[in-house]
Amino acid sequence: MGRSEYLGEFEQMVLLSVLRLGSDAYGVSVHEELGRTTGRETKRGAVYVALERLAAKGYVSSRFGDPTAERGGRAKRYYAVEPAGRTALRASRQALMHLWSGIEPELEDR
Amino acid sequence: MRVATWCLARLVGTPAASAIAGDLAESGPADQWKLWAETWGIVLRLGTERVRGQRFERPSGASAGNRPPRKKPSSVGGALLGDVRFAFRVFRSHPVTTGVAVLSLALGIGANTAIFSLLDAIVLRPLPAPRPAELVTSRTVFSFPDYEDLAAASTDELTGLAAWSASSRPYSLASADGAWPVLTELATGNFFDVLELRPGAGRLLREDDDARNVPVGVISHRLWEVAFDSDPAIIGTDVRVNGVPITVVGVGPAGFRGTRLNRSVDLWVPLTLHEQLAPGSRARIRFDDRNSQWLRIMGRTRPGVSVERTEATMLASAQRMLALEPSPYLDDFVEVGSAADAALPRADEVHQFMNLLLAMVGIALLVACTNVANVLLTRTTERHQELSLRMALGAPRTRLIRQLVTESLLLSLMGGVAALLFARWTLGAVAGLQIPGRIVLGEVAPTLNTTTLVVTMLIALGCALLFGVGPALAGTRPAVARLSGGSTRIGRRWSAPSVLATIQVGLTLALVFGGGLFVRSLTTVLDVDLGLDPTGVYVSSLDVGVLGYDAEAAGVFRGEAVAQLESIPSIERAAWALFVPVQNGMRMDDFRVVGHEFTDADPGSVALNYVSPGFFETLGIRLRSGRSFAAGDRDGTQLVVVVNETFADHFWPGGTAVGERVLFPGRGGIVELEIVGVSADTKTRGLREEAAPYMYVPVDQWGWLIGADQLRLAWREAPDSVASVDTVRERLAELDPALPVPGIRSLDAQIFDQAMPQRVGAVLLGTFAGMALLLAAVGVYGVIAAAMASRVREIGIRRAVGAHGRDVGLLVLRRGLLPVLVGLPLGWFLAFLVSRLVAGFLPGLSPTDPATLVAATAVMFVVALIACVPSALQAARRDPALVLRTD
Repeated sequence: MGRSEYLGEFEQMVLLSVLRLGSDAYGVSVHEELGRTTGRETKRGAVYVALERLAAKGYVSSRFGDPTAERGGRAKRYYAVEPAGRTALRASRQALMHLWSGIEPELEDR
Repeated sequence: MRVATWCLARLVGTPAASAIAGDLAESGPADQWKLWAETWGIVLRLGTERVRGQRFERPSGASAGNRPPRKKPSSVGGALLGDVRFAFRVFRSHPVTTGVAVLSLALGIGANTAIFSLLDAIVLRPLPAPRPAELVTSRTVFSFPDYEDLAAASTDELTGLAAWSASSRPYSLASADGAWPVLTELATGNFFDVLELRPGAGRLLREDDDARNVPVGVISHRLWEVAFDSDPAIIGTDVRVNGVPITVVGVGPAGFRGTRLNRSVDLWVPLTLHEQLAPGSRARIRFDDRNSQWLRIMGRTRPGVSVERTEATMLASAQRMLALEPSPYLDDFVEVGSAADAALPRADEVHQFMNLLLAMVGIALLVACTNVANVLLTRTTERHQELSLRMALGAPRTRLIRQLVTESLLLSLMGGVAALLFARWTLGAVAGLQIPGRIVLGEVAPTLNTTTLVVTMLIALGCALLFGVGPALAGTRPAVARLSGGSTRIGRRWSAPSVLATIQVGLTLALVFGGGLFVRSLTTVLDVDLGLDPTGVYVSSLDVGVLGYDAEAAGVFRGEAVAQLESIPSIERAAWALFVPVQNGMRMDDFRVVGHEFTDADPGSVALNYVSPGFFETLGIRLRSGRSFAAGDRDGTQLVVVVNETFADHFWPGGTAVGERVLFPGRGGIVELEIVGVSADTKTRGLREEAAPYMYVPVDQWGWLIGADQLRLAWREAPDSVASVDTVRERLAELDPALPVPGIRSLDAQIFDQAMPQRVGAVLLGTFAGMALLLAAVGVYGVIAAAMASRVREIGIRRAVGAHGRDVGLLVLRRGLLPVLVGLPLGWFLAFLVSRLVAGFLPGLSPTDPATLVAATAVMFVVALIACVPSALQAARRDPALVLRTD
C-alpha cells in the first residue's frame, strides 16, 4: 500500500456507512445511517462534500437509478465502495489499531 | 431556489444536482424557507470544497508521491486569479472584520451615491432634456402676439421657440377610474420638439395641434403609472379635463415632470385649449391682446449661437414691437438666460443645502474609509506571522503588497456593489422629503444613473488605494524583525491603528454634533404651542371652480359636503376654510375699529380667514370668550367676526372685545362687523411665526367674494377611530364624481412638513452619525483588541507578579481611551467647521450650541468606553498562568 494517505474521520464514517448500506446507499440513506450510528446530527451538505471527495479520490463510484414519483421525478444517485476505498479503510483501521494497542490502561482512570 | 439549483448543477453536474434535489424532496424540510436555506447550505459547502479542493483534483489512484509540482501561474491573469482566490480565502477566515469593512463601505459609498444621484437630478440636470445648455428662456412673461414676433425674429439663432403657460392650480382630470388633480401646462405644439423629448408611449404634442382646435392631451409618465397602471390602452381614449373631453394621445417621457423642479406637471395640452379649460380669471386672457401677458417662452439655440446673441436679437425685436405699441413692461423685457437654471427655484438655497449634504456624506465616507483601513491594518498586524513567514520563504515584498492591494480592491468592489443596493434603498426612503425650494425629492426622479455608477466606482477605487496601500506598506515593512522579535516588546504608543482611531473619533464627533444640531432644532421647532389640536384632523384642498360652479352652487356644495362627512360615524366635525393652519398662504386687508383713534402703533391691516361654522371645533381652536360661528351666520344677517387674543388684547386690553365693532371693506363699501367671539392665538402660516392680530369671518357671509375658489375641507376623526379617508372620497364622489380629491393628509403630517429642512438634516445626518458611531466603536475596539493581543505576555507577567485584575483592566482601558481623548479635541475643531456649514439651516438655535456639543461629546465618549469594556474585562479575568503558557 505504501504511502497512501489516511482517511479523515468523517470520510471514514461516510465510507463505512456506504459499505453498511450496500446496494441502498444514496444521499438520504447515508445521511440517516450516519445519524443513527453516530447519534449526532450531521449536515446534509457535509455528506455530499465527503461523497464528492471520496469519488474524486476514486474510493467510491456512483450510478443513477430510475426516477421515482415521491422524489418529484428525480433519480437517486447510488454509491458503491471501490476496491481502492476498501484498501484505504483497511489501512486506516490498521493504523488506528497500531496506535491504540497498549494504551487502553492509560485511559482507564481519566 | 432556481438559482441554488443552478449553482448545484454548475458544481456537481446536472444529474447529480437533480439527485440531490430528489434527496431533499424525499427527506428535506417541508418548510419552503428551510428547504431554501438547506439547499444554499449544500451549495456553499460544495462550492467551498471546489475552491479549496483544486488540489484534490487529480486522476483517481494517483498517489501523493508522484503529484506534479504545482504550476507557477504563467500569466499576469493567472497570478491575479491566484491573488483573488487567496483573498477570498482570507475573507472567509475573517468573516466579522470582512463584514464590517464591506458594510462600512456600503454605507459610506451608498450614501454618497444617493446624494450624487440627487445632485445630478437637481443641480446638474434640473431640466431632463438632451443638451440642456442649448435651452434658453426668459424670466419675462409675454403675450401671444409678442411670442409670435419673437419666434419670427429669432429663427437665425434658435431652432425653435415654444411658449407655454402653467395652470396656477390643479385641473381636474376625470376618467372612468376616478378623478385626479393635475397640474397642467398649456403649450405650443413645438414645445416637446424644442425640448427634443421622445414620448413614453403614443405621441407628444406637435405643431398641427396648434392649428386644429381638436382637444388632445399628453399625460405624464407618472400619472400614467399611478392612475392608469401604465396601460397602453389609455392612448386614444377620452378623459374629461375640467369637464371638457380631451383625447389622450400620448405619454410623456419617463422622468419628465415639466419645466420647473418644484412643480410636477401631469398634463400637457395645446395652448389653443386654454379658453375652454381655464376657469375664472384665466378666461379673460385674449390671444390677440398684447396686454395679456401670460406666456413663458423657451427656445433651443442653434450650434455656436451664444445666449447673448439670442438676447440681443430678441431685444431688437422687442424694441420694434414697443415702437408699434408702447408697453409698461420694458424694464426686464427679454432677459434671456439658461432654461436649466430657471428650472431650479431658489437655486442659492438649494446649492447651499446640497453642499451641506455633500460635506456630510463626504465626512461619512471618510469615516467609513478610516474604519476599513483600521480593520485591514489591525488584521495585517495579526497576520504579520504569515506575511513574515512568506517573506522568509522568499516571497518578494512586491508580491505581498500586491496581495494586500488585491484584497483591498476586492473589498471595495464588494462594498461598491452593496452600496448600490443601499443607495437605491436610501433614495426610496427619502422620496417623501422636501428640501428648500419646495422640491419634493421623490418627484425629481432621482435614478441611479450611469454617471452615478461611475462616480461610485471611482470612489470605491479611491478607497481601495487609500486603505489598501497604507496598511500594505505598514504591514510588510518590519516583517522579519517581528517574526524573530517575539511579543514581549511593549508596542509603540502611537501605532497606525491608534492614529486612525483618533481621526475616526474626531470625524464621528463632528457628525454626531451636526446630526444633534438638526435634531435639537427639529424638536425646538415642533415643540411650540400651535393654539390648536391637530391630532385626528385631516385636510384636503377642493376646487369646484375648475368644474364650472358659480358662487351659489359652490355654497350649496359646501353645505352638502359637510353634511356628507358628518354623516360618517367616525367623523366628529367637518368645516371649510380658505386657509388651514399651518399652511402657506394668507390674505390681508385694511380695517378700523369703531371708537378707536388709530395711531402708528396700531396695525392698519389684519390677516383674515374665511371659515364655515364648526371650524373652531374641527381644529380644536379654543375660544376665550363669546361664541363661534353658527349656521345662522349667513348672507343677509348681521356680519360677524371672531378675532384672536392678540387682536382683542391690543384694542381692549383687560376688557372684553365681544360686542365691539370693526369696520371692513365689503360689498358696496365699508361694512360693520360685530365681534362675537375671541379665539386663542394660533400659528397660522409657520411654526415660528410671532403672534399677530387675526380675524375669522363666516365664508357664507362672504360667498360673493370667495365664489368658487379653492377651499380647504378639514374634518376631525373621533379618537381611536380608523381614519376614514376612503369613505370621505366615496361620499365626496357621490356629490360630484368629477371632483378631484387631492392628497388627503393629516394636519399632524402637514405640521411636520413645516419642519423642513430640519427634518431632512436630522434624518440624513442622524443616520450618518449613528453609522459613524458604530464604525468608530468598531475602530476603537479594533485598536484595543490589537493592543491586547500584542501585550498578552506583559499582562501575564504583571498578573504573575501580583497586579490585580482591576489594575490590568484599567491599563487596557487607558490604552484604548487614549485615541479617544486625543480625538475629542480634534472633533471639537471639526464640529466648529460643521457649525459654520449648517448655520443657515437652524432657526432658533445657535450653530455652536454648547448643550449639543456637550451631549455629542458625552455620547462619543460613552460609546468608545463601551467599545473598550470587553477587552478590558477579558484582560482582567485572564488566568496569568494560561497567558504565560501560550508562548
